[in-house]
Amino acid sequence: MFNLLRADLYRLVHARYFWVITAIAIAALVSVALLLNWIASPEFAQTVNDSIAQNEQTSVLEVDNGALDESDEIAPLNSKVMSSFTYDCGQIFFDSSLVGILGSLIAAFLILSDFKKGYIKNLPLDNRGRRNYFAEKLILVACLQAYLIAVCALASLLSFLALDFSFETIEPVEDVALWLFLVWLYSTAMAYIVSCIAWLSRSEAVSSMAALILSSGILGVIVLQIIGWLANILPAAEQIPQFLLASVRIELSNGASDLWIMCAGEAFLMIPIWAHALIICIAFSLIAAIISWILCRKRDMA
Amino acid sequence: MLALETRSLTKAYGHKRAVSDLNMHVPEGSIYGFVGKNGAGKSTVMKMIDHLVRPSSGCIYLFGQENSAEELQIPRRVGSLIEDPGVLPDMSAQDNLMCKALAIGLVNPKEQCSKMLEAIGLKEVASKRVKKLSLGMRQRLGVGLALLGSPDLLLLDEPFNGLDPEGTRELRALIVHLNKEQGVTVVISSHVLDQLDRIATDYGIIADGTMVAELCADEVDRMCGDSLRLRADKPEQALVKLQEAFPSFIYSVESGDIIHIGGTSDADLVAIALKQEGIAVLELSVIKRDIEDFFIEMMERGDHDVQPAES
Repeated sequence: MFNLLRADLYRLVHARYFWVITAIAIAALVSVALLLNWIASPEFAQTVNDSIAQNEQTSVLEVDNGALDESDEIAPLNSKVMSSFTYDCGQIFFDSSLVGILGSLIAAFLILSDFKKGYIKNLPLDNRGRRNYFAEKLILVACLQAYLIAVCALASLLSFLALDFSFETIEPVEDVALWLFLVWLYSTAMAYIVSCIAWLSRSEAVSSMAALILSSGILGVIVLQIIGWLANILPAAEQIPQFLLASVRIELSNGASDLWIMCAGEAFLMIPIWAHALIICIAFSLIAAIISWILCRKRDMA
Repeated sequence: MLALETRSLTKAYGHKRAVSDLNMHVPEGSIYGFVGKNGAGKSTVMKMIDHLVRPSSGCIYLFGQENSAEELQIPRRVGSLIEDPGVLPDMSAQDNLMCKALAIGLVNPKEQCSKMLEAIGLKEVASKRVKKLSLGMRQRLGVGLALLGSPDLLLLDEPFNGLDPEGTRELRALIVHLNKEQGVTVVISSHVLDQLDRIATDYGIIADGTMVAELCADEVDRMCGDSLRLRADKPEQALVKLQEAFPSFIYSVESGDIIHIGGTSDADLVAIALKQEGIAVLELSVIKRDIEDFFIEMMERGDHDVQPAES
């Protein structure tokens, strides 16, 4: 299995799509930082004021005794103070699905490239070899999620610091680490589900669609809506959301501040949110991994 | 010892049997030519041997051991090039070899890949991306991938596809070298029968997923050489008398009264023998047959009428 991991890491490093996805992630986060920087600038405030003045056909600037004149700077509409590192990361690259979609796509491409090009014919695939193959791929997918999250977190932090942003709340390192760990678990669970779909379908189109629908959260929103309606008829259905990854996504999108709050759901009463997220993510990861193994281990590989 | 043996190997896709009760015997150290029409099941058999496809039933033995999962050595002892070479088109030839070398845990992978590139004649284009290489070069890369890890059994499915005459000759020489110098057992399936004819020591003929016949090269030479076609007024008696007089010839009967006599083209000898027995010869002609005709006939007729000569 270690040999397979070495080989796949070698492939990744030499694969164009890996660096393209890394570049997209960094570019997206730097762009967001630049956009926020511009929004926090006096120039943006000026632009907004000019736009309002144009619409209302009145001048925003009043020139009278001792009042502002045109040479004075307009105050920025937004400050360059962010709430907290995890809250902002949660909004920028987690809740926006950037890391989820990119992580799932890269997992799908990696898995499907073995079949698409017939490369899998070069690998030892007896029973032991197949076990090693699937286990190694799952480990690699998890490592890829960690890599992407690290890239996104670093890109965010460095971009904001370079643009003189600061954080209102400085979180303890343990809380930041715990939050990042849970984000990694969530992304890994999503990527495992997409990997399972990739192995079963062996289709790029199906896998890409699954990555987009699942990791973007669209499916989660739809499912929660349906459960909400169901709960009107069947009150017990209210308990279902706490068992879904969609609820974990909501919990984590607010950053590390809520992680120690106790869960509201009946099944997870008296346990903190971080433990709830841990259990759900591990459960989904295991289910996806087991389904992948059971359905694919005897399947023809070429 | 047999390098490869299959017993009642079967692969069914739904109700269709791609391979049915196939018994195959590949002697260790041989070059085994695996011959059959398109869709006969050759690639499926090779994929089952290489664990790419699960047999529906039957057993596969490699070097005397059942192809069981837990034997770590066995997977590395088989190298294969099945259908198209499984190469990564966006990576270079060198990187493709490195990926496999790392995956199978070779010591000094870079050095081994470098040697392999030289052996397959791709050293000059080592850093070129595979999608820019010609079909023949990709085929050579596929052979190189199969040879990494110094396998004891090599499965080559149509390895001469896309190769120019020089490439074909080089590959043939490489196969013979591996076989003679390193004792590698090679199973080759090919439609290019005259290429197989030059190197194969044994043959297996498959038709509709079943092994029709397994012959050694000497037997094939005897059976597909020139033969005689005989029509006599007492065909059963003629057959018996000829078998008594010339037991080393190969006899088959067609359409009730036409006797094919393989292993000789001496019409006079046969005519004299029949005359001495008082059997009138109605027709006696020499039939020229090459290896291609022989195999096509075997594939279409099955093994029902073939009597390989006794050694």
